[in-house]
Amino acid sequence: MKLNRRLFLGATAATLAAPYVNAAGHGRPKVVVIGGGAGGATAARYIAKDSKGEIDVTLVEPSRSYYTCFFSNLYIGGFRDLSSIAHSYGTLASQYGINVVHDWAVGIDRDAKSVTLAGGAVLPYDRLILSPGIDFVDGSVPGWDTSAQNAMPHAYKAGSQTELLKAQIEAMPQGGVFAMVAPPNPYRCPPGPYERVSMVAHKLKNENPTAKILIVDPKEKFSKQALFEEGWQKHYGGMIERIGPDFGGNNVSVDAGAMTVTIDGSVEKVDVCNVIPAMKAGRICDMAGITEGNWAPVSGHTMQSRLDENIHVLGDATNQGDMPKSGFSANSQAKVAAMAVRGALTGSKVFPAKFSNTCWSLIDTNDGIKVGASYQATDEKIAKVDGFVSQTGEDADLRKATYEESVGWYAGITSDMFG
Amino acid sequence: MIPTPHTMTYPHIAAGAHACFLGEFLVIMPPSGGVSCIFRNGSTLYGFIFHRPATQLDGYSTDNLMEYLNVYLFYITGLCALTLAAGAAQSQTADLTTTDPTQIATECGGDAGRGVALFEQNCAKCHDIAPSAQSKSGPNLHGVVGRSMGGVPDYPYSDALRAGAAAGTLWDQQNLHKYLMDPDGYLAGTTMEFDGFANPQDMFDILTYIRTASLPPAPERGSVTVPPELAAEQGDVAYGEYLSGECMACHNTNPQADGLPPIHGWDTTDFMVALLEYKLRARDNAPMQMVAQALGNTEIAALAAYFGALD
Ligand SMILES: Cc1cc2nc3c(=O)[nH]c(=O)nc-3n(C[C@H](O)[C@H](O)[C@H](O)COP(=O)(O)OP(=O)(O)OC[C@H]3O[C@@H](n4cnc5c(N)ncnc54)[C@H](O)[C@@H]3O)c2cc1C
Repeated sequence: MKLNRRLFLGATAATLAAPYVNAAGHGRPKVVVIGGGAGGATAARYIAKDSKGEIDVTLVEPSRSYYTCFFSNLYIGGFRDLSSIAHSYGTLASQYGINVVHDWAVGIDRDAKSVTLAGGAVLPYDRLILSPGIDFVDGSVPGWDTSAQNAMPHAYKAGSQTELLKAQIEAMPQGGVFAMVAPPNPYRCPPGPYERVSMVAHKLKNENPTAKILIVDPKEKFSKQALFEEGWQKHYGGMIERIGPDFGGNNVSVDAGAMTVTIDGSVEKVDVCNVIPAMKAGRICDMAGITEGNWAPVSGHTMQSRLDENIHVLGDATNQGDMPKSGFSANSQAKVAAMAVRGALTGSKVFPAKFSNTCWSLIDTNDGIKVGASYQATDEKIAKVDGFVSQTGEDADLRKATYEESVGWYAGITSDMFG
Repeated sequence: MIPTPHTMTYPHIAAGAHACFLGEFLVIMPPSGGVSCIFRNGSTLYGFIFHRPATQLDGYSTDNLMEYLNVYLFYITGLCALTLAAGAAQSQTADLTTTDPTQIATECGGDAGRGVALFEQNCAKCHDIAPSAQSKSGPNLHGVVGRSMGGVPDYPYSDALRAGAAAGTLWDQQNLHKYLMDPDGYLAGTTMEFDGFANPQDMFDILTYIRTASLPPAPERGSVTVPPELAAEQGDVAYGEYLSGECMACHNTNPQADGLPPIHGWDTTDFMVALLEYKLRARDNAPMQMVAQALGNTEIAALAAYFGALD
């Protein structure tokens, strides 16, 4: 017999009685998902889709439109428009029966197993999934805090910040200076800052060819470094300068009023300053008391918090082991969590956790690169099994194919998140 | 904690030898001096792991010696576990059918990348490894793992190796381990000018590299067929549904959408062949090769069954 996917999904009416007892003691077991991004939207969709109506899924997300950080650099570079990276939650609600609530979660009562929303509603849960992404570590770049984010945008949560940064680049005087304060490890999207520099360079090369780009970086090395540096040399020779820790890149402060960056005591006047501070798990993780240090430790087998087995944490907020903090990783982890949650609440079959990640980056028109790996869960962590990375000196056809593949991936992952 | 040596009787241990268990190893100190090790699993004793003659142990006090063994045996534990998992002495060549670099690394317990450098340093002066290269002063090592001793035609082997060849001895991993850790101890009369590795990990790394460098070339696209073991698998649709999550991170859930090729509703054989061709590197694309190499027959069958049943 052929299974018909659409029929399947159509039949998500709550007709099946849950065989497992839940918090309220009756009705369908309840899952609350906080954060409708790469991790949360995927988890909500997979639980709703695969449980075929047996589980009641609520997704809490303040924004009505989710702007993906992935491809937001391509928007800055002029390869995408902003609307092409915006996604709504309509299909998750209409086709998958997910209860989408546009509000902030402001409190979690782990004993009562309930979530309080800013609007006052209290949502009970049998399992809670947290995928709130990142927040910034106060004081990590002296002189910068979120009140300075209009003068010196981070653009590390996509949307208005990204638009602002792009507008500032367009307003730079001819021959001006774009500075980036790069973040220390670990942070969201390891190649992200360097793809951004590539996209800014692409834009400036056309619009402001005498401008300069200055990267102030506390890290010795960075992701796909040889590939980026080869590409920068090839496409943007002379435009980009990077100051690493050897030359004081780890001793930096900014003054948003004066638009200056001070590097190891020497003051530079800049025209645009993209400050990407150190990161930590989205604040709600702290409120839930499931963080250790800046991140929420989880078991790779199920993505359960190591501090509360009723809570699963996904994506950037976690400390899980070897996976980079990426949208691809969050999406991959969401599927493991969805399976584990279904297994716990409805007794469905549970299989060994398996993860993968690929991060594509664009250096210039049709010059795409990628790095990826597969992972499995051990008791200790999510451990890398195998991997690959683009090579320097690859031919133009392969680079073009890599870029085209990334465009295909973007269409695929966003439909996997939002239906 | 260093256990005290005590006298034991085992048929193949010389009378009067001191022996003790150190974790999973039986350490024997024969009256002639030196030290030997045997791996045990429960009460079963497995092959001799290594031998150090007395001359190589000059200067070691008993305590030092035990400490040295502790460190050394710690390294070897991984190898023994692998050997046991494969079933003692059973899989001479069965494990050589894989072309999956990860699988090879797991089986050999090493890192091919480190192995390249170590091969250059330790072996390349006398051995080539390219598929059809002439032997240098030592025989060509392409495909040495799993082949018979003395297996390169026309190479002037030592009598010791000829004897091994005549006895049908294979260069399986266990024999290579012993040989490479202690060439003269394992094969008296060998003419290989090498004292053996001090660190077993170096040896694992080199073997990983040799296995990887000996891979058969990728088959032609279009020439791969579904092997009977895979064809016989009953694909588990529920497992396929879970595994499909990895595919759907890139391939669009809407089969009509633009983007990467849709994978819904394929004929199961075509689906299996496509994955096998990526796995065997007959098709290019690094992410797909990586994905496919992590899939065994059960997983491939499950995915084919799941996607095949969707329109
Ligand atoms: C410039 C840039 C480029 C990138 N490029 C790539 C790429 O090419 N490929 C890739 O795989 N990854 C990329 N990433 C990384 C990727 O965007 C993140 O890793 C991914 O979004 C993490 O998913 P998440 O679910 O953890 O968090 P997010 O996707 O950030 O989702 C978190 C959501 O939670 C919501 N939220 C937070 N707190 C609350 C609360 N208290 N109550 C309710 N809702 C809350 C937020 O509004 C947000 O929508 C990039 C990132 C950046 C910044």
